[in-house]
Amino acid sequence: MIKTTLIAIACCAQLSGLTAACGQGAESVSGPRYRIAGVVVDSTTGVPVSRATVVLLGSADRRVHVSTQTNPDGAFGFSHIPAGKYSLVAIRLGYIASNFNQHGEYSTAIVTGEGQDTEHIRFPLEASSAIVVNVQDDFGEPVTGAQVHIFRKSEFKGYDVELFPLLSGVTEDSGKRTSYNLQPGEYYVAVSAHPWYAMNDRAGGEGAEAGRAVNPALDLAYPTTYYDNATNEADAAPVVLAPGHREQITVTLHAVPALHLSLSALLGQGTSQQELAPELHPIVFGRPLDLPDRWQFDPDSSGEEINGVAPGDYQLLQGEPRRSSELHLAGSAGAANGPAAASVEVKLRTANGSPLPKELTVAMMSADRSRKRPVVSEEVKGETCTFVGVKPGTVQFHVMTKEGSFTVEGITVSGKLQAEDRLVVKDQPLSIEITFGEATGKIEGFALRDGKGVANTLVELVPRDLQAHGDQIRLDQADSDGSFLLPRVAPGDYTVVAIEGGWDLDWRDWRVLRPFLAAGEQITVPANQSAAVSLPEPVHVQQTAAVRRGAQAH
Amino acid sequence: MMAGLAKASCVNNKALRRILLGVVMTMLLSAAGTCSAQATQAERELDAPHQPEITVRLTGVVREAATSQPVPHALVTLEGASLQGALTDARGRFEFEGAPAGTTVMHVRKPGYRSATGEGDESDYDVRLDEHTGDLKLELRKAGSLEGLVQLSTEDPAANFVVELLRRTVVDGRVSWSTAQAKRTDDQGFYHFEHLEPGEYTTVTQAHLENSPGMGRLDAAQALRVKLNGYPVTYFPNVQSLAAAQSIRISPGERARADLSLTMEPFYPTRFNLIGPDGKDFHPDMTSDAAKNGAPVAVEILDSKYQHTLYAGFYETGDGMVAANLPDGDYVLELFVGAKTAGAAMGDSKADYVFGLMPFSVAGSGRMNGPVTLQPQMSRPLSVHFTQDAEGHAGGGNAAANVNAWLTPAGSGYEAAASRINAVHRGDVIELMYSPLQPKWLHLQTRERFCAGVVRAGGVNLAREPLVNDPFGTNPPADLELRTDCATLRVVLSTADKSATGVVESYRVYVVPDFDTLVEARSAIVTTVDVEGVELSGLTPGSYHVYAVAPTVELPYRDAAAMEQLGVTGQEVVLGPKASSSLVIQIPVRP
Repeated sequence: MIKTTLIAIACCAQLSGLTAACGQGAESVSGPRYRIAGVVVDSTTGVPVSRATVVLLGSADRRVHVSTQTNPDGAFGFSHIPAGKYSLVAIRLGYIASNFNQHGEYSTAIVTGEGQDTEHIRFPLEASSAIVVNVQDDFGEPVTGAQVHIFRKSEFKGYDVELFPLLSGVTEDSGKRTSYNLQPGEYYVAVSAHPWYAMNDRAGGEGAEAGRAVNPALDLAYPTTYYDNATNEADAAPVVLAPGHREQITVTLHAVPALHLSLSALLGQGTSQQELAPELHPIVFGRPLDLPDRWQFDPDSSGEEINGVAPGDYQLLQGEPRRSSELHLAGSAGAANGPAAASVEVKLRTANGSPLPKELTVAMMSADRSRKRPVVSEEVKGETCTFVGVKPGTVQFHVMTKEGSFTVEGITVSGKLQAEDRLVVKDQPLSIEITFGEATGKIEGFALRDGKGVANTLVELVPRDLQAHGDQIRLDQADSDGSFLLPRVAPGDYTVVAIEGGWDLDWRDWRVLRPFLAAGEQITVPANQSAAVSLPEPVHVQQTAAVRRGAQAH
Repeated sequence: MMAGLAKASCVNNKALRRILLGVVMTMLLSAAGTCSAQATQAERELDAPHQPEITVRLTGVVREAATSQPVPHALVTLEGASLQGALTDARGRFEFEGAPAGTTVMHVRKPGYRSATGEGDESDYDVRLDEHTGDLKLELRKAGSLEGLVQLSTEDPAANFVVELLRRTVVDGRVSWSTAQAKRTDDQGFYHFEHLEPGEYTTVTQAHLENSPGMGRLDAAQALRVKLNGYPVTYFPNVQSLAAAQSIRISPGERARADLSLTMEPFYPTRFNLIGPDGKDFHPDMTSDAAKNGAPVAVEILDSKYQHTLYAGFYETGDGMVAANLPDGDYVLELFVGAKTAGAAMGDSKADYVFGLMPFSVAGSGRMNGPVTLQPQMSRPLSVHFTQDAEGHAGGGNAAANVNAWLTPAGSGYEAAASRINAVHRGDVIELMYSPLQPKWLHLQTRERFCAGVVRAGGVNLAREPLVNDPFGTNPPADLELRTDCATLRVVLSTADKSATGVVESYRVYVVPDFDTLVEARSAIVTTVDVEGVELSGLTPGSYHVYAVAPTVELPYRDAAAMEQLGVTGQEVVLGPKASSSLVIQIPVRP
C-alpha cells in the first residue's frame, strides 16, 4: 500500500497536546473481532526492541485506532480489532520511525479477517545513524555558522534521481554539525561558508584606489567543499553509514582569492540591474542551494559588482518572471559561461483537449541517469513555460500539479509528434509542445504464492514500451493478504509483475525486468477508464536471485 | 528523512517566545545607556571627510583579557575613509601601514571570543592616533561554554531533549533568572551552550514524552485512558524547582559542565472544560487576532505556590477543552482570554479580560477536571497626576503619555526579564493588564522633562513591595505624581584627559537614588576623552549615590546584598529642585 506520512505521530506531544490522542477504542461496531500481534526487532541484529511505541491506524483515513508500547520481549498486541485494513507504525528512540516493512513511500498494510494470520508479525526497525561533520579553516580553527548540506544516495536503484538533498544546517561554535536519525546508507556531504574574517569590499568612487580591494589579503572566499576535502563534486567521497553507526568526518575549508563579478558583464549593458534583481546560488550535485542572501544584489552596498564570490558552478537568477542560467566561474575574475546552452519553450496541451489544470508545473531533468541530475521546475503561465540555460543532451519531462503527476503522452517538435517523454537538446533554442494525459485508471489485484501474501513484495506495472514510457511505471507493495492497488494508470498495454525482494532491483531497466515478465499478468487499460480494473488471476510472487540464495542458505 | 523532518518542525514556542522577549527587553533597557556613545561616534563621522587624511603606522597586540595570552588570527579593523582590516599573527600582533591620524574607532573580533570592553562579539575602542602613539594593547575575552550530558533512567540516549539555559540577570536593579538560550540535545544526549558571557547560569530540561499520543481524533474519554511515559522538568542538579537549582558560575573562557539525570515517570492526560462569564459553555471568537495567532486562550500551568512551571497546556479548538500532559503533582491552571476573543460570552460586561483559575492534582490517572469558570476582570488603573508646581500642564488630560510603565513577575524571579507586560495608556490613566496570580514589580520610565514621586497603592510602597492583585475582589488604585522640578547631574571621570592618546577607557555611570522610586536609575557611558563628562537629566530632587563600573556590569542597585557582594562604593550627591550640579567621580583601578 502507499504510505502517507508518519511525521506527526513522532512529533511534539507537548505542542500538539491531545488533539490527537489515541486509546483503547471501544467502538460500537458489531461483527467479529480479531487480534493483531507481533514483535518489534532490530533489523540488523534481530534483537527484540522494548518500549517501542506501536500505533495502529486506519489504512485509508490514517486515524489512530489504538497505540501501545512493546514489552521487554519486544512483543505488542491489539485485541478486539474489527475486520479491516490497518497501517502499523513503530517509533523508538534510536531507530528510524517506520511503517511496517516500509520501502520508500510504500509499506505493508495489515488486513484482519477470516483466515488471515495477523498474530505473528515480525516488525523490523532500523537503528538510526548519525554523521558528525567538523568544519575547520586554514588555521585548523573551527568554522562557526558553516552550512552543511547532506545528500542521500537513493536506497533504490530504480529511483529517478540518485542524490537527494536531505538536510541542511549550520555548524555550532565548535565547528560541529551533528545530523542524526539518519537511515543507514550512502551519503554525500557538502559545506558552504564564507571566511568570517573576509573583507571583500572594493574602494568605490574615484582615484587610484577605485576598483581595488581595500584589503587584498582579506579579499577571500571559500569554494563549496565536499567530503573528503574536494572542491570538485566529481571528487566527492561517500560517507557510508551502517545501522546504528555514528560517523565523524572533518571538512577543511581553504580560503581562495574572491571573485568580483561585474554586473554589466553578467547581465548585459544597459539593463536595469535593480529591476533584474540578480541572485547567485552555488550549484551542488546539480541543485542550486538556497543560501541566506549571500549573493543577492544589493544596490546600496554592492555598487556595480557582486563581491566575495568563490570560484565554482552557480545558478544565476534574474528578471521577472525569474529566469535561470548556469555559470561556471573560474579562478580569474572573468565570468565564463558553461557549455553552450539553449532555451526550450514548452507549450502544453491535454490529450483529450480539456482545459489545462490550474497551478501546473513542468519539471525537466537530464535523461542521463548519473549522479549529477539537476531537476528544474517551471510554473506554467497561460499555456507555456520556458526553460533557459538548458545544457545539450537528452532531457525528460514530467507534468504535475500539487495533487499529482500526469502522463506525458508525446512531444511535438517542429510539427512532428514523437510518442515519448524525452527530447534531445542541442545548442539551438527549441519550441515544443507536450501532450499529456490524465491517468485515471486503477488496477487492483492480489500477489500470492501458495495462496498467501508474501512479505516485501514489490508489485510493478510495466508498460509494454518501457523505454519510451518510463514515467508510466507504477509501483506498490503488497499488503499482508497479498492485495495491491496501482493508481493513476494511463491507457495502454501492461504487464503486472510481483517480485519478492524486488526493491533491490533497478526496476526501470528492461534488461533487469525481462526475466520476470513471462510469469507476470498481462492487462490492457482502455481509454477514459476511471473505475478500478481487477486482475482476474492473482499475480504469482517471484523471487529475486538474492532472495532465492538467502532462502537456500537457510 | 521523515523522522529528521519531524524533529525539525518541533520548535519550542514557549522557550523561543521567552528568549525573544528577553532580547527586546535588553534592547529597551540598554538604549538609554548607549545613546551618548553613539552620538559622539556620529559627530566624529561627520567631521571625518572634510579634511585630507594624514596617516601613521600603527602596531599592536591582541590578548585574552583574563590570561593575557596573545590571540592569533583575530581580526582588527580600523575605521577611516575606508574600513581597513588585518589579522593578527601567531603572536597576536597586528600592523597598519596607513592608519588615519586623529580620533577613530577600532574593533577586534574572533569567533569563540566576546567583547572585553562591553557586551557583544567584538571589543570596540575609541583611539586617538598620532606619530607618538605607542604599541596598542587590545583585548578580547574568551567566551565561556556550558555543556552536559542528559542521562535517562531507562539508559536510552536522551536525543532531542530541549534544554534551556537560564542566566542570572539584573532587571531594573533586581536580580532575576531568565532564559538565555534553548537547545536540543544531540543523538547521544549531549547539549552545548556556547559563546557565553561570564556570569551565573543554570540549566533545565523541558518535559519530554517518550511516547506521544499521536494523531487521529479520539474523544476526550478515550484520550484520558492513554498512559504516557515521560521525563519531568528537571533543573540542575536533578531538582524539580528553580528555587532548589544550583547556580553555575562561568568565568571568562571557562568550559563548565552540568550533567542531568532524568527519571522516567508516567504522565497523564488532563483535561478541563470551560464555562464563560455568561454561564454557558465557553467558545472563544476564533476570528479574533489572538485566535489567528494560535492562542485564543492563554494557558499557564503553575505549581501549587502559583509559580510558573515549564509544563505546557493547550486550548484544543477541536473540542473546546484545555489539555495538558503532566506527571503526578499539585498544580494550578491559569487561563486568560482577552475581551475581544471572549466575544459574546462577555455579555454586557465592560471587563477587559476574563480569567479562570483552578487548583488540581494529578495522581495516577488521567482526569477530566472542571468546569473552569471564566470571570470578568478589570485592568488595574495607575493614575498619573502632575504636581502643583508642574509647568504649563503640557500633557493636561494626557499625563500618562509621559510615562512608560510595565510589570515583571516578582515571585521566584524566574522569567522576570522576559515576561514584560505592557500597559495601556488612556488619558491620565495607565491601565495595567496582567494575570492576577503572581505578585508583580511595577517599573516606570519618565520622559525627559519629568521625574516622579513615590507610587503607593492602598498604602503599599510599590518600590519595596510588589503589586498584589485580588482576582476576585477590588484593587485599590495606584497613584503616580509627575514632577517638573527635576535636577540634572553632569558626571566627569577623574581620569578624563584631553591629551590622552592610545586606547580610551569607558565606564558606565549609574545615578542611584537613596530614596524609594519606581523609576529606573539613570545610567550612561562616559569615557576618559569626554572631558565635559556626561549629563543625566530627569532626576527627582533628593540624595543619590553615583557609581562608575565596567560597561558590562548591570548594577543590582535595588538589592543591598548583591551590591555588597559586588563590592562597589558610590559617591554621594544631593540634588535640590531644578538643580544643575556636576560631580567628578574617582575612577578605581581596573581589576
